[in-house]
Amino acid sequence: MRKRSLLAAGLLVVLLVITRLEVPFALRVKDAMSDGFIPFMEATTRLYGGVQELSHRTKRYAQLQVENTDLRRRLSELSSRVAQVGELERENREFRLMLDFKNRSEFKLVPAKIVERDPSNWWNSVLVDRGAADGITRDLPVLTIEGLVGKVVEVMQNHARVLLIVDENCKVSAWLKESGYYGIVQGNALAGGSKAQCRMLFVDRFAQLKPNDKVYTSGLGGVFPKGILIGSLAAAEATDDPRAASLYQSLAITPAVDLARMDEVFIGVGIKPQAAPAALPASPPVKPRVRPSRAPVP
Amino acid sequence: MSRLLIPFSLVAGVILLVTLQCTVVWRWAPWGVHLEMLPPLLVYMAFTVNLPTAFFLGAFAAALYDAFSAAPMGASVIPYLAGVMLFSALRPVFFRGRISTRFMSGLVGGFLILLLQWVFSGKVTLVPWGAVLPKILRLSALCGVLSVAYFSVLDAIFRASGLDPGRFEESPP
Repeated sequence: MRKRSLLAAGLLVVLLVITRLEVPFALRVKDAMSDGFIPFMEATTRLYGGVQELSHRTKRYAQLQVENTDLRRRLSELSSRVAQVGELERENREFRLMLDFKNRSEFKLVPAKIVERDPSNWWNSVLVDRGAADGITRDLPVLTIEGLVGKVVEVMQNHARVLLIVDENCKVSAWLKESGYYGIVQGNALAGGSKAQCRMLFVDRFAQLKPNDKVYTSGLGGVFPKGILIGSLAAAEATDDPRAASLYQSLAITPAVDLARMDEVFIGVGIKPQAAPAALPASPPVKPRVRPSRAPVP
Repeated sequence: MSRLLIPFSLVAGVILLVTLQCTVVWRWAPWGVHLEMLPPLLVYMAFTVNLPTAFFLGAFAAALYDAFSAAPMGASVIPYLAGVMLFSALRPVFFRGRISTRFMSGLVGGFLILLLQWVFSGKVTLVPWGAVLPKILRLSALCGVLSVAYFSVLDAIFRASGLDPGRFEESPP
């Protein structure tokens, strides 16, 4: 037993001496051992790196999730703000145009907002948020930047009902700007198509008409002031109107205002002392007849 | 209290439908017409409550409708009450549970009410019948569809509340 211990101790000393000495044999042994274990080491390193990466990724994923949620929320907020800014820009542009129109127009205009539409299929009217308290009276013209909308038919304390020009009961004395012919524009929403919702009656049967001729109020009726754009000629040919078969023809007119889309209108409460005629087309070649009555028929 | 639940619900329904009609429904026009939401509700009323209540509800609906329209105040009263009376009178001979009955009642009621509304609008001489009748027919068909929906939804709601909307309630002497 003692001999064996001594032998083992001797071998250990020899091995220590051999490994400490930089002799070729020792180096080979070292290389062999290194080569044998390096793959294992590498695998262990890779495994550890993988575990570390997994741990890191897990943490990162959780962070990314939080960050993603936060970014999505911020993106949503910003998108909403961008939309709001766009809407504000559009509104601002419209208000500027309206203000400009109000300043340029020769009429004293009261801005009004549409609060309700007629529930019936048989009537075309809107309710606006201006009434007797704002100086609104019956038969005042209602218009937008684009042109004539209709006239006030009912006045309440804080609201007024506006009969639209496409309603059959709304009649406007009108003239064709280029052709120079006169007539009566009447609503035709029920019988007309989706665009030509008005018709111009009592136009000379042999009138030489021009396509897309603009139709303006003539001011002859005493209800609507002259020079407000009503619409344009949609069809130069005569429509079937038994009442005007012999001497006159009736024409399809497309309103200048998109009545289905408007939200804000102006109510013309009078004429400014110093009018700005540049904003309006040339007057019709007939001296207007002023009729102060409230009768709606031109 | 439960006896009053149905009439009060119908009053609320009338207010809601008129509000929708004035603010939302005009924005879209299936078949080129704006949906008329009240006539089928009147048919439902006539089938559900007793005649005096239906009469009161019809008059209220007509007054509210005219208040928000350019039509003269009261122009819808006769059409609406005529519809209510007709269907109240015909109620005992109809089986309200059938979809075909609901549809046909809505269609006929809608046609009658809308036709009378048109006549009372005072525009009969201004617009040819050929332009108006197709609109009335289209509206009536839509009223028939709405009637089926009203009967189904409102009956389900009232039954869920423990009421029997189909039960015939005689008017008090």
